[in-house]
This record gives sequence, structure tokens and C-alpha cells, in this order.
Amino acid sequence: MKRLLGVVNIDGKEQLFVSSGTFVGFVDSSQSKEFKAYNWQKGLIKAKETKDELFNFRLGPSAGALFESVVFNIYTYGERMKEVYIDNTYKSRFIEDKMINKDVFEALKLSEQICASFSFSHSCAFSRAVEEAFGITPDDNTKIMRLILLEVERIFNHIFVISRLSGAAAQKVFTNHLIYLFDEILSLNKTFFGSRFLKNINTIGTIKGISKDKMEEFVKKLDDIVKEFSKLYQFSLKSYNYLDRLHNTGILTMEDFESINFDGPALKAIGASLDTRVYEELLEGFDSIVHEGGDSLSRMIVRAEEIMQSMELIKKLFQKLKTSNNKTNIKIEKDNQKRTAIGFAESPSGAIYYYIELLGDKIKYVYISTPSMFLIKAMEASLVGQIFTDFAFTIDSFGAFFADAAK
Amino acid sequence: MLLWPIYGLSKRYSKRYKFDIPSKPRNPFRRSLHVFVIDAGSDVELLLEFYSLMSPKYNIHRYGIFFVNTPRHADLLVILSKPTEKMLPIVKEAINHMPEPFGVLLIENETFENGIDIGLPNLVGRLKGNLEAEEIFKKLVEIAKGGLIC
Repeated sequence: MKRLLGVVNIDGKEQLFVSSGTFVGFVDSSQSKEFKAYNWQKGLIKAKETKDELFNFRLGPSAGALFESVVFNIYTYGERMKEVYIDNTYKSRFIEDKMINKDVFEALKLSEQICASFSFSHSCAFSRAVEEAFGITPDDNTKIMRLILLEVERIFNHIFVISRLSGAAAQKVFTNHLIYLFDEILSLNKTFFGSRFLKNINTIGTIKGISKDKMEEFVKKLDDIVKEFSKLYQFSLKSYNYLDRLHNTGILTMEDFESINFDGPALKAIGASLDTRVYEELLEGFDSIVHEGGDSLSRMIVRAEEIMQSMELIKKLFQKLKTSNNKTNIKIEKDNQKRTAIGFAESPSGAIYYYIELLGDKIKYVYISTPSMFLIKAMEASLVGQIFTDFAFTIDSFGAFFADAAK
Repeated sequence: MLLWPIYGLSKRYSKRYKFDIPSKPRNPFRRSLHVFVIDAGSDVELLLEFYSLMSPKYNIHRYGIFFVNTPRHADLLVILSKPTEKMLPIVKEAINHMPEPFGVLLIENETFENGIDIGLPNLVGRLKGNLEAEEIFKKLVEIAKGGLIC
């Protein structure tokens, strides 16, 4: 299964940024016909001509029903949504442009500002790209800690998304429990790592570590929270009212994947997976959680089971942590040599890819492929044919952040 | 019997008032502060901090703090981050819709300069830095208890 991650202009020539299995790189734009997602990525898809009975119900950018500032152009005759176009340019901060001519450490800080809930994933992907460009190999402890913290980010993100879903489904007690657990994990992050959203922890070549004893305490407390979540989740599955609201809502199919190329839990809910953790040597035997159905319920189930899976992965990775730390020799050359590299990390909603071009230690060009860019298109496709009541369940089930898509 | 107007005037000038007029203005939002949060272009950190304020740990309803879905029902407008260029007219429109008396609280987290400075009316506070839910909660409680004087 291949994905079109973006259409990039390199040295005046259009190239396609693609991923397929272990291959991540560029192919010539003459192969664009193989990718149905090429049309929307190039902006070639225009709004269809609307019929007379349809009107544009414009929701946003600042509406109570929405979490972030975004505009939903919903074409409807009153009950069902016939077409949906999402405008997330209100959140554009042009971070890719701001990274240009900055040194790699400043650009790393900017990468964490794209989306706070994926800040560690962005930081990880960017630092891996820089390390590849300069030939830096982080030590084992750094690699293990990065994987652990990626899983921690996954856990609190999934709890947040499930709490939003249950809130939309009017399960107030369950929602309040989940918000409490979400806040507890953020407080744990602050206590042990100094940042609620794991910012300013990762750097090029190394990571701010903590002692193994403290790490053991952190893992134990996180495990208690995940066990609490597991009990609540099992209890929520007995509420047919809750499950019925999510079942058959916001359905996506493999045809949607071929035309949009999304990944993450939205793809896993259709029965397929492009999880990059499969290629991690330290996560040997990793198997993605998949579910059939393609609806909001399947996406919720995938996320809930991934929380438990992430906790098991954290425990396994913790056993591999060494007490002594071999410091990596970090050398960032300030010469005028041109370097290019690609780095990626598996964020809670899908893989993040960074393509960077460097001149010495300064960023010359950067292209960021975020999962939310694709999930927004998936949202548009899944909302078609739904009634307004199902709007919240569909939107919240994707776990997409418009700040992540708008960059 | 004196004519009623003369009777009333004589009472007014001869008797003391039972209740003194308070010299300090009363806080109209004590125990009932309705907050509308507008995301003016932030990364979602502050939004998630506000979301975690709904945790039972903070119990904001006990202090009379409620989140509303429209600025027309709000007493306090919280603007998250300096507005981006596209969000600037939206923020101004939200301020126009606020019923008097109202206050504005601007919250910016530690980030690069990405916004435009606008003259915000009725600014009751400007918070900057890596803010957490607890600090935002303390500020809202301070406003609800008497920090917002109109």
C-alpha cells in the first residue's frame, strides 16, 4: 500500500513525496496518475456545482460546537449533509516558512509549536531527519526513551479523543472520568519530565533523561491510570446507547483511503495498517491493532486497545533501559555543505514525515507531512450523507487537530 | 394631612436611610462568571489546558464559572494567543457581540511572535508563558471572586 505524502517543488521540479512499505522518498511527478490523492493535494479538486435546493450552512470559525477555529462549509437542504468542505486556513501560522534560515535547534523548537498534542512526535521526526543528515547515531537509551515518550503521548491523546467522543454521545460520567485521567497523565508528565505536553525534552542526538528509579515510578503510576481507563472502557462497552450512537457513523472504506491516503487509527479501523512502528528494531514483534467496520465505533475501539498496547510496550521498553548513559557525540557542522534528509515518527493519529534541506546548520527548505492534513479530507468524505446529529461523533472520532493540518 | 408630595419630601429629608449606598462598586460577576473561549490561532496547548479544567478535580462550577458557546451569553472573553491575520476580524466581531459589562483575558503561551497586537477593550488580564490548567484556574477564580470590576 502506498501513500502520497505531498507534492513538493525541489530545484524547480515537481516531485511526489511518497511512502510505500520501507521506502520513503521522492518519485517523478509523471507517476501522479498512480496516486488518486494527487488531485486534492495539488488543489485540483474544485467544489462541485450545488443544486438549487442546497444551501451553504457555514459553521465556524468560532462556534461553540467546534474545538478549534475552523470553517465547515456544509451544503445541505436542511437535514443531511450533501457536501462538506473544511477551511482550516484560520489556524495557519506558516511554521515551515518560519523555519527557513533558522539553525536546527531553533527549528526544533518551532516544530514543537505546530500542535501541542503531537509536539513530541513532531520533535522526534524532525530530530531524526537532522540526525540522518549529519550522520548522528543516538545512543540506545535515547532511542528507547523516545519510543517510550511517543507511547505516553499516544496514551494521553487517545484518552482525550475518547473523552471527546463520549462527551458528544452525552456519556457525562464517563467523559468526566476520562478528563480526570487525561489531566492526571499531563500532571505526571509535568512532575517527571518538566512539561505537560512533553515539550523541550527531545533534542538533536539526545534526550533529557531521568534516572531509572524515577522512570520506574513513572511507569508504575502510568500503569495505574491505564488500568483505571481499562475498567472504565469495559464498563462503557456495556452501554448500548453509547455504542449505538457511534455505530455506522462516519463510515470510511478502502476506496476512501485510495483517494485520500490517510493513515493512523482511521485506516486501522478499516482493517489495514501502515504503522511505522513495525519497522522499529526495539519494538520486535509489534503488531498493529486493526478492526473492521470503518465507522466511529471502530476508530474508538482501535484507540482504546492501542492505549493498553502502548502500556505494554512502555513496560517492555523500560526493561531495556540501561542505568549508564553513553553520551552521543553531537556534531552539527556549520559548513556550507548541502544536505537533505527525511525523518518520521508515528504520532497518535498517523505518521509525521519531515523532509529537510540544510545548508550547513541552517534550514534551507522543509516540507512537513502531518496526519491531520489527510484526516481532514477523510472527515469531509465521511460526513457526506450523515445527519447533523452525527456531526460531533464523526468529527471527534478522527482525532485530527486543525492546528496540525494548517501548520 | 399634608399633601402627598410635601409628606414624601418631608420624610425624605428628615429620616436617615436604613441602608448605606456602598462606596465600592460591587462585582457583578461574583459566583457567576460565564466564559467564552476563542482560539485565535494557537497550537492546541491552551485549548487542551482549558479542556482539562472541566476535570472534577477543579470543580469550576462550584466557583460559579461556566463555559458558554456564544459570546452573547458571556461575561469574560478569553482569547488564546495573539490573533492571526485571518482571525483578527473574528475576534473583533466576538468582542462586538459581548454584552456590557464584559471583560477580556488574553492568554499567550510561550511561542514565537505570530500574532498582531490589537487594542483590546476591557482587558482584565494578560497571561504569558507556559501556562498550565492550574494557573488558568486560579486566574479565573480570582476574576470570579472580584477581580473583574466594571
